[in-house]
Amino acid sequence: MTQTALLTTAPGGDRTDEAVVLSGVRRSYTTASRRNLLTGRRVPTAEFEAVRGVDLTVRRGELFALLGTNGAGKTSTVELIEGLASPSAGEIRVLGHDPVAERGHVRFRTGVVLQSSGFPSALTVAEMARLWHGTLTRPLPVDAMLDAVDLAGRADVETNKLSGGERRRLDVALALMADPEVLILDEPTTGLDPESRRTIWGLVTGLVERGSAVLLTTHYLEEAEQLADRIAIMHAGVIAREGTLAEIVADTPSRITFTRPEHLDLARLETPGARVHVTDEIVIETPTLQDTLARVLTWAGDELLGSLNARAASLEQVFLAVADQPLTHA
Amino acid sequence: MTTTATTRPHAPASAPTARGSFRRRFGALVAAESRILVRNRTALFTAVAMPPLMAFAFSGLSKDRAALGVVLTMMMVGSALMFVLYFTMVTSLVARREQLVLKRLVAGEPTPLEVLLAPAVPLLALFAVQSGLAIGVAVAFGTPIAHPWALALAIIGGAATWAALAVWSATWTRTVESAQLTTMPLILVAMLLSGFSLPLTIMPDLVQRVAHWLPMTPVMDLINLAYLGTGTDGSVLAGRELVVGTIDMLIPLVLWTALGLNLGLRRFRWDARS
Repeated sequence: MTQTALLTTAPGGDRTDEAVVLSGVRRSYTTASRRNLLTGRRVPTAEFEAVRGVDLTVRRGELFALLGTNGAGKTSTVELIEGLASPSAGEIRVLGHDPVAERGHVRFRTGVVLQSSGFPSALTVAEMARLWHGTLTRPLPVDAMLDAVDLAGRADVETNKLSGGERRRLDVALALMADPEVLILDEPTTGLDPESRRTIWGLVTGLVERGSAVLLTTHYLEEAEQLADRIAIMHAGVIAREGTLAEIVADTPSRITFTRPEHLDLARLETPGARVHVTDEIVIETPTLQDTLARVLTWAGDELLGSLNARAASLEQVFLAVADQPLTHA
Repeated sequence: MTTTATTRPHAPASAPTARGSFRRRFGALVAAESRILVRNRTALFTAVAMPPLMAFAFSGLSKDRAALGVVLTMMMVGSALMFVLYFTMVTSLVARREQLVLKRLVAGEPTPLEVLLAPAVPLLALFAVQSGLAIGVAVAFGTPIAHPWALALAIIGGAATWAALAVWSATWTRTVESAQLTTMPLILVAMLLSGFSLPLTIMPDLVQRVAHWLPMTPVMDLINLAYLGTGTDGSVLAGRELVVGTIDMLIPLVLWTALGLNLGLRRFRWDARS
């Protein structure tokens, strides 16, 4: 049953390898509506398209980070994969199934950490964990999961008395309790202390190593740099860059900077393929960092270059460049 | 740190192809809902004390002990449907939605219908106990019961109708506080036009006919039929008339249940609305 579904829905790809596939996915929100006086139904009069045609694949055994500024469409996209809403256009397959229409085939194999925890305030940590345990098809033991996120000692505390970090750790524990083949985390570490963040990172990477697919949205670029096998940067509802960290920064030049030396002749500095900006500071942008740097050092000889800095392109550079792009609403 | 979580490798072949049982999943939701209800003193007091208080307040009107049994059952069942089941369920759903609990649950394995109906179960149990209590008192008062099965229909039909209406009402209720207002129209209409507080017979003929299509009146009609054996026009029903009369009382309840659940499910928004 699942076999044929996978075969028909993942053309061209390794049919067991692709855990999450989005093709041409769009999502619109109604921002204004009026009531039809005859039928009593609300008719949309204005719409905002938060997701404008996203193609994306997350494979098994891979951690995929979805980056973007606030309002880029990350959560709107992720909610579609979670099956909380249907796309207005395009197709989504999670483990070969439509996450809304075939939720019964998908949900017991996925784990989700929403941006909001959603714990009833009257329940304790242990009661919340037992409730969740009871809803799962193949749950891991409650005690072991609370232990894994260092909440065993807080089991009898009401969830509304937890700190932000503790709530998030409980969130992750519940998502992992399902022993998911696909794990989706929407900004799991926003505002967390380093200790909690490390705990969550450890658990998530452990899951990836055991072959699950993980999709993570985050504001923290270093989180993506450290954890992600592949990265996509989302901007204004579309994916602006996608690939491994190396691929994403490959097109972006490295930079060498130093203060303008008084006793050296800039005309004698040869840096093929590089762009040199001269003010009080010299900025050299180059696709070949090592070669250009060697030329700069040879050129300088014994002269001391002030504030010398050579840096390969960073994700932050790429991210800021994408975020600065004007919002073109085609 | 990663103890058991790391012990189970994911071979795709070992992945189960069927999800877990409805009973276990729904049972966990119901257990949690019951626990939350018991810990919410205000909601619990409304649910437990309101129907007996209403029944007590109104039942002094009748001197005849046998007739008192009928009034008592109507008061108890009617007010339990409105205040225990309907009002408390709307506030439960809205409170859970505000805290984004419902969103978490539907993002997991429970289906939307399971998530929306779980809060009804502890309230249905309370409603059943209160209804049973009222019927027991009526029997103790010596009230004869012509058709006991009609009591069962009144209780089951009323419960289904008012649980479905609660789901629907929750779709247009933004906050727990506003639930007092948004549940008012149905409760007022039910109290005025069901023979609950005023005899229907004093109303104009057209109003009476419309009233029998409302969600509470058929419940009262069925209780009347159960004790007195009389139909909506006051005559004693028997044979084919009894069957047709009963079906006429059930049709509005079935329609309200279908309408409430259908619209409730389709229009429910899982995100907080305030």
